[in-house]
Amino acid sequence: MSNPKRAERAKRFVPVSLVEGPSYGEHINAIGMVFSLVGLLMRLKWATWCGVYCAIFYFANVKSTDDKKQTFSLLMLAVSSLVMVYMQNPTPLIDS
Amino acid sequence: MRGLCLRVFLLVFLFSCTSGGAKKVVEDDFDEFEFEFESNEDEEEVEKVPPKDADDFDAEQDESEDDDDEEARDDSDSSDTDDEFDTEEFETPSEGEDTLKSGKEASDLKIEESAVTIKPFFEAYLVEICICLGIALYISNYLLGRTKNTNIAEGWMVHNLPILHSQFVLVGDDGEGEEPTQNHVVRRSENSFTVWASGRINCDGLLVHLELMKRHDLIHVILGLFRPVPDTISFIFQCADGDMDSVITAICPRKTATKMSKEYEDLSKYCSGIRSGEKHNLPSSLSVISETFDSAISVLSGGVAKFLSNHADMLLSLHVTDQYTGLKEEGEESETVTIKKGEKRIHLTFKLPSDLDQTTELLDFALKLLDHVKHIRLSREAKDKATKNRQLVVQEQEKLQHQQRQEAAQQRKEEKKKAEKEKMLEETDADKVRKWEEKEYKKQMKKSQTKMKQMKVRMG
Repeated sequence: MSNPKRAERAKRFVPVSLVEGPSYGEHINAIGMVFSLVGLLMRLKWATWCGVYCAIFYFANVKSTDDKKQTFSLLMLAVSSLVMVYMQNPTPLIDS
Repeated sequence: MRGLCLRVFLLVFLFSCTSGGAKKVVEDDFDEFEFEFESNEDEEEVEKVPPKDADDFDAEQDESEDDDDEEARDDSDSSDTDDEFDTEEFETPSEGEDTLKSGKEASDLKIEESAVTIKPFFEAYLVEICICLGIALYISNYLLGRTKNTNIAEGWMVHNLPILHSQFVLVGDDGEGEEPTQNHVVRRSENSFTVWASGRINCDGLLVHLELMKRHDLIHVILGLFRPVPDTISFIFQCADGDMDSVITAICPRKTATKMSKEYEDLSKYCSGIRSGEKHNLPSSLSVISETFDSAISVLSGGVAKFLSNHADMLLSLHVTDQYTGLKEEGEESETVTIKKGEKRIHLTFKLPSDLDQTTELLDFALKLLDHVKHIRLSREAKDKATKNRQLVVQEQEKLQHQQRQEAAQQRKEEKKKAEKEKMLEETDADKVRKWEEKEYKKQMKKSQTKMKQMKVRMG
């Protein structure tokens, strides 16, 4: 077969939307924020831990096209709410 | 397999830690209570005989307190009764304590040192430690899974790079920067990778999409034990106008045929039925969805059917279309209808073989199919039918668009009228309001007159 290459038809890559499996990233992000805020305001340690888990799950499943600031802010919120809650009441989770 | 065993072992370990910890905590709590009961009994024995002097003093103190209270009630100008209560209540017992101390029997009291029960750090924070272990496990799995997925993607690239370079001018561009890059695998997420190749006859470009298992996510790894999800590879050829005839055909496993025909907009609009693969020399496990019988025969000729029969277990979908508009959007009816121009695409999806040497075979087939589709020429009848179908779809879309535009204009008109009416209701100038009312009346009269004229004409 003759050479199939055609330099005149060469085009740069443009990101396209692809058919992919279901993604729960946005939902997890929202749930994580709610958990962190509830934990911080109500001083519920289990809620802040749930927020941390959601933040890590979201971080692991984030896409390259997603907003990195959002990921970072969720992680910061979750960790800071956990730190704040334990600073206010350092008793273990089972005692509080 | 070894990695899977390690994960399962770690999970079992974590679970046993959690359950064992919970038991321990309960046991410790009871121990604490037992100790407290014992110490309380000892204290009661010691404090059984109260001193007499102290009783007398308490009685006198109560009387003096009552007198003081009465005086406080009589005094209406007293600033704050709470303060008086506080001082009296808290001062009196302290005086009593002093007298107790001064008594001789006070020296006989044995003050036993109560044992302060502080749990060890690891016992007290056992739940937190387990949670942190869970996080550590998730992160370690994330790093392992991420590395494995990256290795698979790069391995595929290494195996297929010679073929891609022999067929395309530009291979592995990431679309960033002014100059095109070469041999670059674009990471979309931790389990999704793409490779772009362009500069070949019969197509504008080839996008290879590797969608791997979510090995980086522990939750998906656990779910995968019960419901395995395969690694997949997709070859998406973007073609130009002259590269393809009016063909819409899809071949997929029988289980997913109905879903596919409903999900894809072009298949749902142009294709009427799902046929068994047996009618096209394919295994019965495959189904064929096509606009016309002729287009399906054309696509499956030239060794395509034979290859698909041999790799039926690996095929997830084969979609050749000149009207690709993507998946059907949910809630489309409520939104505005836009006429989408269909793209010419060849979309092949296979399960990714575990042996990466076999992947070159899939790429070879995809390129052969591309060249084969270029040479497809439909019969005159099939071509006419396809053209007619496309015209009908465009007409329907235009009709819907026109209807929506009319509705929007009507809504705008009503909103404007409402706003004008509200403005006149708030207006204080009576002349202005009267003029507006007259104008409105004239408009209405004019409308009714035209209606009457129309009626007369019809009657006549």
